[in-house]
Amino acid sequence: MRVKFKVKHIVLYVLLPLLLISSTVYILMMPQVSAWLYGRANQSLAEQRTELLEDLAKASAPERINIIRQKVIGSGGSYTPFSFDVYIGSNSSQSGGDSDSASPLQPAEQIDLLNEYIAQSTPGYELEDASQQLVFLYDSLGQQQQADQALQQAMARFPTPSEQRSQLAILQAGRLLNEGNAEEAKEVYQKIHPETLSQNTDLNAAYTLLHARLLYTDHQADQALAVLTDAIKELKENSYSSGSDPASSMGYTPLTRMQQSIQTAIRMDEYTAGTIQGTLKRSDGTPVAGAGVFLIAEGDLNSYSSNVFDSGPYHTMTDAKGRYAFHAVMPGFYQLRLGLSFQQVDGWTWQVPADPWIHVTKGKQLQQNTVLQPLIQLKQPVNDQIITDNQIVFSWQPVKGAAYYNLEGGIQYPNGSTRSVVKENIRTPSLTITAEELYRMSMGFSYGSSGDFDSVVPESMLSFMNPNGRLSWNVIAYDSNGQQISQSSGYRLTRESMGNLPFFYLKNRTLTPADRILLDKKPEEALAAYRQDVAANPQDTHALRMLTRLLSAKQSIMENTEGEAEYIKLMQRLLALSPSSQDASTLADYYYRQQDWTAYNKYHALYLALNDGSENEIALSSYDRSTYAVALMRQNKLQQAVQQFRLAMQQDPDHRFVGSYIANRLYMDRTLESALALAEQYPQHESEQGVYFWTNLLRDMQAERKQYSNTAQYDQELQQKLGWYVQGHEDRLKPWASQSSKDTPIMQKFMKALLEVR
Amino acid sequence: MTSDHSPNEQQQIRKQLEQELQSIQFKGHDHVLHQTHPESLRSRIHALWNYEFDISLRPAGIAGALTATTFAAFLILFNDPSPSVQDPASSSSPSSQRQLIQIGGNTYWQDQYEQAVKQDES
Repeated sequence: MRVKFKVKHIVLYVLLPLLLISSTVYILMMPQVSAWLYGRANQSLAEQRTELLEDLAKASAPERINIIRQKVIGSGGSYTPFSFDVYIGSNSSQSGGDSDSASPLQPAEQIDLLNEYIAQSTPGYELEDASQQLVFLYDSLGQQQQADQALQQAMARFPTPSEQRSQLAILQAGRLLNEGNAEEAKEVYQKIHPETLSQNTDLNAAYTLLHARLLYTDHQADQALAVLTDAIKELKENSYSSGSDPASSMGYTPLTRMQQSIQTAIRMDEYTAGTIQGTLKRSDGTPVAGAGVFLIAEGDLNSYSSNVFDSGPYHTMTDAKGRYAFHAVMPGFYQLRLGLSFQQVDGWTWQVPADPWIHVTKGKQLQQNTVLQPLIQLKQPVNDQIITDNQIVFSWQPVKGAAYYNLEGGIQYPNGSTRSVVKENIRTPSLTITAEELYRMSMGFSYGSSGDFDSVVPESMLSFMNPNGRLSWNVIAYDSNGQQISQSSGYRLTRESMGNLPFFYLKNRTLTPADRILLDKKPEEALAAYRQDVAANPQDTHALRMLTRLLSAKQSIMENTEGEAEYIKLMQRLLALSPSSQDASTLADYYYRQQDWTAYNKYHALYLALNDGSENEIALSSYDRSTYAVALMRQNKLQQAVQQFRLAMQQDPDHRFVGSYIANRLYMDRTLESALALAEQYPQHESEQGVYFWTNLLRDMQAERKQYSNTAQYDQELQQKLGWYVQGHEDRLKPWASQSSKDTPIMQKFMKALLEVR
Repeated sequence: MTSDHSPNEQQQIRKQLEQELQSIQFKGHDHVLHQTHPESLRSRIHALWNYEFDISLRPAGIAGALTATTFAAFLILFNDPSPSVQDPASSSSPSSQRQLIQIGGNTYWQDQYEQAVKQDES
């Protein structure tokens, strides 16, 4: 093919645009220009600081105010007070990402400039922003008194009434209430002019929340509820009239959550707010000042928002001695979450308590001391060391007070990584295991999309058997009560805290042809190749192991149980050739679901034997223990089941299987009272129906029984239906529980709920 | 004067003339035209402006691909991924554009981590 074109075409359409583009780029790349355009993004913070301080020194008084507004307060509300680099809680550890928002100035310098601004600028939104920032800065230095004073002074700069003054007053009243000065908080609250807030739903909600908390603290729970209900109604009406969804409007969620918690409190006869206080210190006793402490209500735990308003009304910062306190806390269940700076968290970790729930009830004063522990330093194998031996010696720095350690192994693959427990209950700060033991470990497999077996990640299938795979490891230390003390994983942001890199390679074996086919992303062909290997040599444990892994992954990815029989058979053969507790547990779990108790008992016993622990030790996870208890119950070993259920409740702070425990107890004792006592003792957390679900259900059932014409008949019916559940006749129970037109709707609801326990 | 050459003779002379002139060729068309019709600057520019290239795509494509590859290789080889403003002495103080990386259960500053891995390799 040939093309013809004229000189003028080249000039017009190629050279001229190129010239234009390159000259623009050149101009943009010039340091002065880019600095002017991107706000000195390429400068280091130290350079920015020097320049800013120089500019300020040169400027006249009015110019200084302008510079502070632009460079210190920030423009366009990009600054959110009360935000932290890292949040740590029981089911979240998240970081704010990069350090884009870092200010080049030292906190003390910022404080001086903000004070100057507040004293000299004209009142407006920037002044209010500056006040909030100043309060946050003082708090973060552990100087709460100065923060209170600054807030007072800033408020005086605004006229009454004004929206900004009201906003600062809400902040002040909230602080006073958290500090336990309910009377002063009330005074501040009463001076707020609510009409100034009318346009701002967010502020309005904050105002209502404050009002409700003040009322509740004043033992006026019903009024508090009414105030919230009215506010929610108004908010709904406003958003419907503007055609938007009320749930998406600012302030709706915190209002409804507070409404629910007061409703629950009233139902549970709780009319007094509680107090939680404590300290945040490092293990050497040094207080951590200026750290954020959040008290998160049970229903809010899964919202990962770091927005201070979404996290509820209970947030504060530790003072210079690391102390913090929350007063006027609604009854209910809470967990702590910390907000730390990179400097505070670097090289340290906070281990959430084994039972993270804080129960605020009957106005009790609770003490919750929190200790940061240094990260465990790993000794070997580290820094991408290559191991060719048949034995691997892991060793790490011992932790004071540790009774045992768990070691986890991980594999890195192109787009991710997985981790899994390699060994539990290690009594020394070192562990020697054979390569074969690592090979037996299967990891959670990764895949691209369900229904596409080819998308399985080969590296996740081979796990530790891939000599080219980069492996990682970490340890967790526990005390004798099973409480986590410290761990090796965490934030390592300086050269000192980085320590050894937790990576190594295990090059103890070579890939088989079938492995290569798998790594070539042809799982179906690999499956056939492994099958051939097993046929050629029935003792080939590697091929057998890979065959079971691929079959199991295929079933999950293709979402069918085709080939399950073959898989189970192969698993049994593998277990006989190369016994591993993990595989025994897989088989026990399979027979649990099949309700084949003979087989279940066999593999459960094998699992315990291979895990070298007796059944009452920490050898079983809370979930395994719970299913073991259910298995005992199904085999009519009710007394043994009770024993295991009790241990499971102690192990699992969420009490996931409490429903089955209640059924077992009720079937044995035949009294609703003892069942109710259990429900109260072990509230089920993190369930959709709420923490008092079983308590309320059993209370309702007591009432239903009382109203029933013939109590003996009611008891008989209950015993029969419980029998069906206990003995595993779900096929009979299910249709009965979903029948309509029964005169025992609560009993039916109870049975339905039991069927959902898993 | 009447022609005393016969047509046959005429033809022969012509043939002879053609033979003699065979080695002489006139190549001055352009020169003559240029002298008789002098070209303006404008028209010359116009000619250049409208000058037509005729290029076979295949060699052009190969040449283009080669240039692009060289350019890409140049970019890869000479583009240092580590931040240029990073002062190694003060690397513990956060610069305004550092990225975190989560790997092996830990969280590191990406540049520091990459440096450490490089060190272990050497």
